[in-house]
Amino acid sequence: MAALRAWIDQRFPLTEFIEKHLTKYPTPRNLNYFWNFGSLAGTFLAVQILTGVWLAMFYKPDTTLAFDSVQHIMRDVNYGWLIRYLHALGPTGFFFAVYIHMGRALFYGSYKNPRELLWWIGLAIFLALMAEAFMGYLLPWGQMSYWGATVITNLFSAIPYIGSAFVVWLRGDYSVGDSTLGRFFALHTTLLPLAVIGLLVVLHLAALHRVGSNNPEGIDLDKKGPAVVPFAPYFITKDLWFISLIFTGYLSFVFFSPDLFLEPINLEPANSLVTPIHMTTEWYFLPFYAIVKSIPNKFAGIIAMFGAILILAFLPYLDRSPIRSARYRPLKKIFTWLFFFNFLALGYAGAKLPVGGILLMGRISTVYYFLYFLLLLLIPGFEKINPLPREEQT
Amino acid sequence: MKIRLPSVHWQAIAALTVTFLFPLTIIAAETETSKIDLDFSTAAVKRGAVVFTVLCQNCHSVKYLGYQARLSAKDTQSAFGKAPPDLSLMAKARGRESAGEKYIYALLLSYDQTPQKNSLFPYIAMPPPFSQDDPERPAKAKDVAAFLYFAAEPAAAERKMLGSYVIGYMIILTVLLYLLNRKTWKRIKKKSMQ
Repeated sequence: MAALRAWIDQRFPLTEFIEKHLTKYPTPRNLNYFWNFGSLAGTFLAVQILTGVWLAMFYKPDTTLAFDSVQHIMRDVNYGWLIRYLHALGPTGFFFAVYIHMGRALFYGSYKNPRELLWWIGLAIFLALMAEAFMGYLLPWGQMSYWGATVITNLFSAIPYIGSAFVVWLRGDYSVGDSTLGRFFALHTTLLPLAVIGLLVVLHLAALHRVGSNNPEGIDLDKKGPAVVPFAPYFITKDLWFISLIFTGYLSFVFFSPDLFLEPINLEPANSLVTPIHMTTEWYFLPFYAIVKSIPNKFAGIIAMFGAILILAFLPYLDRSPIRSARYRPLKKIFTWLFFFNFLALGYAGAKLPVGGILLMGRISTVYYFLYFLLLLLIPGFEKINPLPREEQT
Repeated sequence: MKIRLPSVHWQAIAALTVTFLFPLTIIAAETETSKIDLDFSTAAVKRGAVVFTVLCQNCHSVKYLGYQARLSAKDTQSAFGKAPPDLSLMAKARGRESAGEKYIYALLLSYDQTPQKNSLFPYIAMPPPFSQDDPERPAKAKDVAAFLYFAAEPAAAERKMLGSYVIGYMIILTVLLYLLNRKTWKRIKKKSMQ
């Protein structure tokens, strides 16, 4: 075995690679459990790719066959129901992990120097993931698949001058149809998951391993000092047990309550003549859906929705405080917690019809969503910072 | 030298609480909506299949189980104005968990007051499925609803059965991995006490 290892190492940096990126990767030992969500998201990605490959063996991307082929998977394919439920509920786990992962970065200032590039690659993954989830949702060709894709592609018709031509270009037809299904299937199963998400994840890890993990204190730690430990075994066992814990929850939904995360009306085949009574999105899009619904002008709504994600890219420059962790920034701490609850409130408003109190709540939450970034820009001027701990205290 | 380490215990407890308690409240809220007493037994499904073939299959199909309607969609459309829908997935398309089964049960029995029209769903074209003086109407409706719930997801029983083994395994695995993690970190904690 050792001889084989030596033979390979002479020709390929196998041991070096494993040591650098896994076993000996220096990791701050004071990381709390909010640092577990990156590996969790990666695990969900692996589940999605594996189950997706098996679904693609039986699924038919054709408007006359798609719906039936999903039922074929659910009924006739051995354990097809299991593979499909794992895949259908996977995004719930994936976005759950990604949102907490991003919230962690926000709270502990992980986007700050020198981790700007790491943060931007992460945002690109988030955007690709949203496109991936949106396109995948069309494939079962149910009522909500069809109308969701119709409504979302239709948003782009509000772009001045080129809007309607752009929508036709996106759909490949004047309405969502066979060519839309074909291109969504192609992108969902090839380019997006492997080239975009796969490649970006590698870049994300490469950037992380250059700059090292941030930590709850937000201070720079000496990579050779006692505050930093090798990844193996400490973070292997810590990640494993936590993934196992979250997967127990995920699998209990897959086996006992998959309905909770699936829209019943999507079990009716797509029908271009009948609109569902209540249009909704998957839960992970609801906060952004609420922003669109809160703004009376359609074009302004789209700008705000994309702006809500784009503004995150400017965080390293909006938040100029030299202190990373919100633990030592009392004002940022309060506003960031408010931002998290506000995000949940946006999600709630997104799930309801935008009338009366819900509309008002959606609008106030939309305002605070953007106000938060202005506050980050302003507060370093007068925020009283708590004393930072020294490395030995971590 | 005093060294602070993250306390594994309170964070583990918090993670557990969030992961399991929150979804449980959703399930509780979902299942409390209606007080209709449903029958999920295999016997009910079998009785419902018989009732379906006698009464419903004239117009309705359950195509994913191979039940074809006896009359053509064209004929039924000209008789009632609408083509009768395929019922393969209806019990799950009308509500999460058992809500769709309750929907079908309620629909079938809401012909009482105005015999020719459905009082709960005035827009549906279907005439009364049972004769109004049939004393077994509620029992038949319950069985048909059970049959259609089965038809919507025949693998559901296998799913739940397999689920208890998987979750049992996952709980044991999680506990073992948690203990393993505690053991690996003990080394560091001991070292840092010196």
